[in-house]
Amino acid sequence: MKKMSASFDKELVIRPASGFGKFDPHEYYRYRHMLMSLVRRDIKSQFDAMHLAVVWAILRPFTVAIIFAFFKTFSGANTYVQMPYLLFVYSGLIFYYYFTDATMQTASSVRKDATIISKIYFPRLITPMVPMLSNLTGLMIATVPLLMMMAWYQTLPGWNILLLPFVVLQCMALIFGVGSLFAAITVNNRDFEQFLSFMMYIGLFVSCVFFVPEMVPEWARPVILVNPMAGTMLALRACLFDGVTFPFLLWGYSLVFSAVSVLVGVLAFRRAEAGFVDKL
Amino acid sequence: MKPVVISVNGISKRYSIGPQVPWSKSIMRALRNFKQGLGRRMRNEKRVSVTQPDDEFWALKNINFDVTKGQRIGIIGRNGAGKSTLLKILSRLVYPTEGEVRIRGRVTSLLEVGTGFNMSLSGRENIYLNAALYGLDSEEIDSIFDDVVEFSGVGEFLDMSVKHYSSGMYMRLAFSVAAHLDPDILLMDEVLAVGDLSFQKKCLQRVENLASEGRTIIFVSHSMGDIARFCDHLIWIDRGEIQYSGDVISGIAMYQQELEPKKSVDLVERADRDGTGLARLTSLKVLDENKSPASSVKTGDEFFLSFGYRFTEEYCQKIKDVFVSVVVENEKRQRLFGLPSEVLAADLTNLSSEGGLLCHIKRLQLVPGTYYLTVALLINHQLVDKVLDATTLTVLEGNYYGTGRLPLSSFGEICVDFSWSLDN
Repeated sequence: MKKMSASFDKELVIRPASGFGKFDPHEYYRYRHMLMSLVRRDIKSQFDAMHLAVVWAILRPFTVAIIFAFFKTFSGANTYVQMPYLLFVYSGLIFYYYFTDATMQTASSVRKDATIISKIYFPRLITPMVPMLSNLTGLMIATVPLLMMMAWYQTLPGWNILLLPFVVLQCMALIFGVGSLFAAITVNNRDFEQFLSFMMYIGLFVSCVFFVPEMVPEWARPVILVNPMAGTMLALRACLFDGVTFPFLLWGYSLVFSAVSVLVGVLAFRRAEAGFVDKL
Repeated sequence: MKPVVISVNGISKRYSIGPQVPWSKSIMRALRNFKQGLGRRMRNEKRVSVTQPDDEFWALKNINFDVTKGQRIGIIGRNGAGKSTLLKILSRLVYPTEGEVRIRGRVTSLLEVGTGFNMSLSGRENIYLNAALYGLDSEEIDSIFDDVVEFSGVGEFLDMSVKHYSSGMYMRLAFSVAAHLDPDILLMDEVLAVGDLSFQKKCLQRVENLASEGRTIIFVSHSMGDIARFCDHLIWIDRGEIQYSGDVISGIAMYQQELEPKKSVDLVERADRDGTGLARLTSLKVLDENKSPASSVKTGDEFFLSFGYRFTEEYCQKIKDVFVSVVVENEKRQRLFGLPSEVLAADLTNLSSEGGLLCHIKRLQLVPGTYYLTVALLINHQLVDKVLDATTLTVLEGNYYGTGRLPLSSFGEICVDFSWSLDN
């Protein structure tokens, strides 16, 4: 049998856990296959468990989009949206659902993979990295009807589309940061998971999924815009649809917020990870 | 002197076992501690320990040992003695409270077979996933893939989802991945007992191969047979402390003496028995050659099995014949041999209402291991009493052939008298 390449002569020292532990980027690089395997597992098992996974990925945002379009049309409410409302709502919904699902899954990832975590050593931060990647599949599936709708409305993206990857990456960072933080604290206590789920639900209504900030009176706008997902949502529409100006300032705030959340999340997670197996 | 690959220095592990505190209270407590700490600091006082000894439990206390390259260490101890905690610390799953461990080499720890196996994935995908969990990259997995498949024998079912596998197939596949990981240091927690007999044999073979290739193995097990077979050093942990560290055979003997202070097995309590119940076997003792109670025997030893019996009702019918037999099974539940009194034409008809029966074994022809004894008593060709697994017989390494050597267990479990010479 071939001698494994990753064999290392370096001495490994196991000491009582203190603070945030030692961060070893090489180790994460060595375990990159594990991350991809776990992502593949999550995608495959999701599609295996639900034969209609493709349908579900579309049905939920689509139904909600239709309902809101219905309300808007028949109530005559002014949402200040300057483009086809169905497009606006649907694009926002699929992205927001991606954010919610992935964040919630990240927050419960440690408990979900408890059997692996308590039996095999690996760099623990891999666990909360999985949902943000595996949930991209659902997002991509839900994008297909969006493209069809865009063709129907004859709406094309402008040059801003080049910024889309950065918006997605910013959103993934936010998922990872918030999710890791909650993963670290929900190992001990499930109350926080309920809290997160509540926040996500409220977020749907205040994150500019159904409206633009112009709808809100000026004095109340900061309340809406303090939510980092508001910037992400508006930036997303600017990327997808020509003629919508990119909210650089607002998105910049989302970006900074996401970066800080990653920092806080990773630190909290690393602080908690030494005790995972004891607590699971 | 071989290099030391694992060095364990003063490892202790504390668990707090106090009642779970709700988070609101624990936050308040943390705040209070913080305030008190500030106060103390301002008053220049030393910190006083706030831990309550009632709430804590030391799973391990000051464990020290070194493992040299190629050593095969067996760890034994009662349930809850701290064996698994030690293994988890060595596997980097939990962190010690005190002390430090230094390890050189690639460690693979098998604490469970099939960790991370996913029911909705196919056998092929599970091999890749499982191997990736153990830190292999896709190239490394490709290089062992064919061996894994062949070893597991799942062949044609490879692309079928593992939820349709039989539990045996599942375990075989899971162990196969584990068995091909090729580590420098292998940590195992009682994972050998998987699959059917032929597969178990392959597993043991595989571990023996790893051992003979000079891999370092740390093996936690309750099976004294496996320990005696694989290990060249024994560590016995009791209540978190090392009770014994040294030679395997004498260690097992000590452990077993401690474990079973009463050497006579009481059979009266056993309800899972067969037969008419006219008479009952009441006790079973293993006696050494001097007829003093023994907890284990050695290969090649002379020893006795002593049974007590009692008639449960007045027996007026004439006893025409009495047969008693013992069947010896190995850990894999294969019958190895029987000791039926009828083949010897032994006359046991003069049974009194209560008494004993003695079986004399002149030379034990079993290799080291744990064996199960089933006993049966027949009177007038009727099964009167039968107790499955009445006791376990622990056989330790002995000097059967006068050379101090015994056949490898892979040859089988029976020693036979034989000789070799040139045939000119």
